[in-house]
Amino acid sequence: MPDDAPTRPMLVADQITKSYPGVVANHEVSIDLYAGEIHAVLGENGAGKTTLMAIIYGLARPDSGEVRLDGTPLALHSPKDALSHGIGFVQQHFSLIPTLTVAQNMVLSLSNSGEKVSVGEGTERVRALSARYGLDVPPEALVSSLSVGLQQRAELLKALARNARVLILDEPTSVLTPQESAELSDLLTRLAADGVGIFLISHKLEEVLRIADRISVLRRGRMIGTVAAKTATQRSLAEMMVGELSDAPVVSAGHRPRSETPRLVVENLSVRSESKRGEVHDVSLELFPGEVLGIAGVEGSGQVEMLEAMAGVRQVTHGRIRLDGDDISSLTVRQRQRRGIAHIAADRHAAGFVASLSVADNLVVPVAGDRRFSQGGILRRGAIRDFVKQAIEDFDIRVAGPDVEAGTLSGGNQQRVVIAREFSRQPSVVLSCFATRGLDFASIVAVHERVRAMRDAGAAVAYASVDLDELIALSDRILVLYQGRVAGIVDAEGATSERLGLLMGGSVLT
Amino acid sequence: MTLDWFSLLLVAAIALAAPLLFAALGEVISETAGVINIELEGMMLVGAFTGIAGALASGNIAVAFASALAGGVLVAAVQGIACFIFGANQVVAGIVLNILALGATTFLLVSALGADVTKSAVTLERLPIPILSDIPYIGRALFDQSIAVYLAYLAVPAVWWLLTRTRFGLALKAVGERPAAAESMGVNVLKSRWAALLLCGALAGIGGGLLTLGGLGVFTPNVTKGIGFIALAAVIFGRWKPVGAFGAVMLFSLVDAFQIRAQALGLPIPYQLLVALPYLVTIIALAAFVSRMRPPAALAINYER
Amino acid sequence: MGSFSRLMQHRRGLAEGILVPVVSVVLALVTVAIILLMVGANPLTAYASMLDASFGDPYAVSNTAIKTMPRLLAAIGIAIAIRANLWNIGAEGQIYIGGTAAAGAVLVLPVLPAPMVPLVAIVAGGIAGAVWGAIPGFLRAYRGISEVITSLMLVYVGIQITQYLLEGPWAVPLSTFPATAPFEPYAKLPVLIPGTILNAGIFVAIAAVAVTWFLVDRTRFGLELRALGGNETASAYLGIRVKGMIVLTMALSGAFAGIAGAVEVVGIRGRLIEGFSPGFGFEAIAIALLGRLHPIGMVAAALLFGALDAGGAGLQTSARGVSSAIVMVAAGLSVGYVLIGMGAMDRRAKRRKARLALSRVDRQDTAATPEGKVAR
Repeated sequence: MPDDAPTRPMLVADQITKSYPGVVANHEVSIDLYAGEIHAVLGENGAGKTTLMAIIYGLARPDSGEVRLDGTPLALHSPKDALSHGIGFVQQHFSLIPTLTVAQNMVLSLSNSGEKVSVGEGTERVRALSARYGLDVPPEALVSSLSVGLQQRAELLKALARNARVLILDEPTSVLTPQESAELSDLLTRLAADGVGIFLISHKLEEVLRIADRISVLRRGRMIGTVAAKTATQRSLAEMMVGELSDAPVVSAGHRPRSETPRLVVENLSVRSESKRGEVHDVSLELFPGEVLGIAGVEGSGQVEMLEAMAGVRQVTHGRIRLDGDDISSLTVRQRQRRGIAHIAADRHAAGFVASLSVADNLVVPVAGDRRFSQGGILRRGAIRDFVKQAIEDFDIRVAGPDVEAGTLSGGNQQRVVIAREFSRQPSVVLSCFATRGLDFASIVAVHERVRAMRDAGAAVAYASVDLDELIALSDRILVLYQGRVAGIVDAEGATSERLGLLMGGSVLT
Repeated sequence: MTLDWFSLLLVAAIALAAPLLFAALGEVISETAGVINIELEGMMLVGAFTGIAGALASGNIAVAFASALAGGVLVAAVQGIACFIFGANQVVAGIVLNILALGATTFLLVSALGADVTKSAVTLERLPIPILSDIPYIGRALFDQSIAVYLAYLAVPAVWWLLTRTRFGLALKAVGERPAAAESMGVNVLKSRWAALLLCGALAGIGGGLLTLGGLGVFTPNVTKGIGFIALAAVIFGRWKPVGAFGAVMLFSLVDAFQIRAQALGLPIPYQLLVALPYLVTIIALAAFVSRMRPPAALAINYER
Repeated sequence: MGSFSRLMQHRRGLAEGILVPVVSVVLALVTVAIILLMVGANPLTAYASMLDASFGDPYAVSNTAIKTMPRLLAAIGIAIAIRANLWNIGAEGQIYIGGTAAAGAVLVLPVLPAPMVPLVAIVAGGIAGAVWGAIPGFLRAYRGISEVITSLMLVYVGIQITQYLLEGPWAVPLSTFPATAPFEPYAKLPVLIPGTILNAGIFVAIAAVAVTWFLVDRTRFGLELRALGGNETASAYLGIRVKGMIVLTMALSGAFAGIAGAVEVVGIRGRLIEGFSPGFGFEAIAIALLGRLHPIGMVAAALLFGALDAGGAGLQTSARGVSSAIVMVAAGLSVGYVLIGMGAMDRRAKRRKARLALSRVDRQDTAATPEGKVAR
């Protein structure tokens, strides 16, 4: 905090509780913000950071607790209310219209705060604000023609033009180059000096220590504590983030003897993504039969894209993938399935299964071409029925019958369908991404059992998760990704979540 | 072929272009806001019908055009109710409305107007502008037309101004591109889309009215003969911009005017190729310049909060 | 039969599949009756005379049947595409191209043995329609261009190709109307029952219904088609070659429309003639939706449209064109009501789902009981 810090916080979120179906996102969380302060909010994925900020911005309403500005409770029904009180939110996905210019976006945004400005005035406004903070945003450029960094500045300008006193930035540097990140830090410092209070959501330890005045850590929906940045270290923050764990080695599934020759080898793999988050750069790894290789990393570190490239859904930009020595980089998904690769997609709803098809149809799609199940393109219904019955039984899918529409099942049962489909053909390689996301406890346990069973049967398993506890419990080795690159590979036996947390946060360990 | 021949070609092309232009500009507005109107043809057809009906009932040309406008708006309103309220697929609703418009106007022509009484009481008079209409070669084409034709051309800069220079236009672009982001900026997506759709209906209705009232004053079954689809093609070929759509409409109309004359001249080009040209060039343009032919991102996708 | 009986098993499926379309048709007929009343006609006598003209005697029934065939064939093609979430709006153009190719086969290949000629013509129509349908499919799969617009644009290109041939190379000297000379009897589909106009095209239509049902329900292609229609992304993850499937499906869809055109030309018209399809391809979209994409549903819907068309001629009205106009009004209204009815049901289902999700928070163990709604 600056030396002339005000004695009373500008904004207080008091005892906020918010639950969504099945999860408590925030439990009696309190946080405050002084004018002129940069307050970092740190936490793992799913810790409740975004929910807390959404409540302060009026995107979500708390079940209990209140948000006060200058001591007065706020009734926040929508972002419009928050904006009118001077609270601005720069989200990860910018709320700019790409086909309009920066000035036109400004006009639209301002006109809804009751300020009717012309496009000419909007241009002036952008120019003036841009000059004041040294932002260099061209008012007449189309948003879509701007770099991500400039788009972010335009988004910031939009908030500033509406006289924001409180700014919330959600993982602002995750989309930026190091150069742009440095410039953003400078800008935030200047804004704070101007009296703006800033909430900075982040998971990068080094970054928050450098920029922030105070740091609050959330874990599993609860506030762990707020510390002054001056007194904190990367180590102390990592400890707060990941929990009770210390230097003591974690008890894991135990180191398993494994074959000398890897089943799947990835050499210098690079993969492009639609956004900068998720790109994969020069990743190499080996996957041995009978092991689970955990893949750690915050979301958007490239784990999804890496596994998709291995499964054949995404094009490889550079590098090679070898299965039992053969280069499979240019094979189709179906050819790779035939060679024994199974894939549990990261986004179950978008890519995991077809909701409008029956459970039976979902189970049989990848193998429908096998001679067992079709002849001359005509399905052998008897064989399919037997296979589906067996799969439903073996994988404990709780369903009224094989003809039930898959989309009407609960999440846990849907994932059982996915796993049954992928595992019932006895794959030799399993690529699993966020397989337990959104599932109830019983279903999570079931997924773990299945994965272990596959490993015991000799499959090579790559298992990506953002949950460190899960990875440590399930893996033999853990590979940590940070911004699309391998930050390190550690043995699960002897791994500490502190060490993993540091790697995930981009700290370089020696 | 003399200069006079070209002058007459131009006169014809400009008159042919006007109804198309109204419809295309309406569709530009609507598609900018993310609403596609396959029933543009139906809007024009109903406008052409109600225009004649209005003329027969009132004998007043202004009333006739007002009822043409109302006819287009009626079709637009049905589309809006089906898609915005009941969440129907915009394309499907559009096709159904085309069928309905063709059936209803043909049926009512016989049953309500009486098939033989199709000659309108009034048609649009030419309104030559003094001096300007005497300019050699282009004078007649540009300045000896009806008021509606002048308005069609004035509508081009008007729509351009509306879409690029007004807050309403910016809001339409926003809801056609990223409705969720627009909503987060406080724009009412549904209201904006309704406004764009009804405006499109009004313009297409006038365009349809111009087809009948600006010509012989006769309504025949399916009098639009696919002009609405050419207008749809013009919007795409014009890359969803008013000036682009204007260029496309002019090109298509010149080809059309030429086609009518080419037959008389006995040129060795099959006229059918020229008739199919608007559709062919639109497909080729889409296929060849796909990266530059980017439709509004939220086009034809209903918005749900 | 599988999917139909499954459809019957579930109440919501029943309502969606049968109740909404039937109520919509009834409402449409009531609306048309009101319109008839407003223009001074007696709807009861009008409907009676329509019924008489469509089912009154064997000839009338055969007239209804031949008016049903092209509509049904085109609707089947459209339904296949919709199953894959592809919107083949251009069936009308594929009908013209198919009919023209069929006529071309008759005109160009006179050396074949007699019964082979109409068959070859129908195959030619199917192939031509497939090509015409594959173009938008290809552009969608490999260039990302919406098949809605391109297939629609190709309608008018197709019609002009027909027009060019009729007025150019295939023109009959001194004829005032663009049409080829009538085909020799051997080149036409034979009439099945003397005294009627029912021709062998009905076998093509019946075969098409059976083949489609089998294809969609019982083959690997059908399985992948339905997967593609349900979720394109997931289909790619499941190993389906999405691009190839899109082209293939659009080609198949076009093939059925092409066959519809061919049957119309070699079966009913007996020559290629200007405007031989008065919008069958557009009406077929309505039929596919009204029949809820189900083979039997589409047969019923096409039969309804065919009967309206045949019956329209029985209306005591003064001018030509009214019969098809009243069909279009009834068709448009019934599908319009279906759209609105389905929309209303979807919204209700969504609200119910949202309520369910909220109540699930309280009930913990939902996984223990078998769950789900039967798929169609």
